[in-house]
Amino acid sequence: MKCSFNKEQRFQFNSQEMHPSEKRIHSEGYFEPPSESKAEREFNKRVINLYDSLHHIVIGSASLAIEREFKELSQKWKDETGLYSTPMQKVNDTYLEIIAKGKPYVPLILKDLQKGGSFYWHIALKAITGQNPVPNNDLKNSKVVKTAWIEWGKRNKLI
Amino acid sequence: MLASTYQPVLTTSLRRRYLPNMKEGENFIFTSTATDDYNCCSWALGNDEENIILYTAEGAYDTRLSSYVDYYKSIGFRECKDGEFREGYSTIVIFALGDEFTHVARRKDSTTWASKLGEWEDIEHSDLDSLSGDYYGNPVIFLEMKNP
Repeated sequence: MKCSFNKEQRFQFNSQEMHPSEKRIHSEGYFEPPSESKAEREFNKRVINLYDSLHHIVIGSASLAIEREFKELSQKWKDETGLYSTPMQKVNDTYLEIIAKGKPYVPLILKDLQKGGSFYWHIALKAITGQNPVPNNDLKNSKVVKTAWIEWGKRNKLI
Repeated sequence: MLASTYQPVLTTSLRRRYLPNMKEGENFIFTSTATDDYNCCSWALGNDEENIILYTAEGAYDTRLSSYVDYYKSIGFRECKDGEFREGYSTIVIFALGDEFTHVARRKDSTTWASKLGEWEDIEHSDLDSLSGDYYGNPVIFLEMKNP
């Protein structure tokens, strides 16, 4: 008997590949799928573990790639605009590129804020999420701005 | 006083790239760690608790030189011919690139200016040329106000 895998069941018996005697039993309604042997259970377990590992590697690699990209872009932006003091000057081409990356960058920006990153991130966060947890009167206070966005991120389970 | 082990965010490499006239120990020294608690506009008034941000009447961020001049005039400054230190007065200088505000520094004493460099460190500098160039442009207007 051969077996095959699919996404939902992971392991299934293929009746087309059954031995003739098994087919007969099956067609007569007497067939019960054989219980997994110890070897099959072990095999299934390994396959599932392998599947999970591959899943984590694929997802993890994508995530690492985004993180690496964010780190490079954000460092470039900080280098280019760190000496400026007005929001308009902060929003340069690199900053717009960061905003264009969209929602995958939101948790990374929030984590940067948690580590003391620039409070000017609030412009990108507002642009990407459409949210604004900071009252306009508080935009001059970097600590208030950072705290408001970090709390927003926690409430939305992004950090 | 900064710890001798402090590593400035404004590295030598960044200074060479953006403010090439700055020579540490020659025409400037670092006087604080990097912070975004306040910006050059507030530091020019001795305020280290908030960022001064100007908005247009429509609510957009304002970077016009004229708006910053008007702002400082609105709180008591008036234009003066140079940035010479005068006892009993606060003196500031505004840098601009064309019509765009870029930076403001204040006179600390007869030989020193004090600046907050964006989100990075505070410095004291002996001249205004040290900050002049493609990034901040040039000093374009001096303002002073009699101290209370």
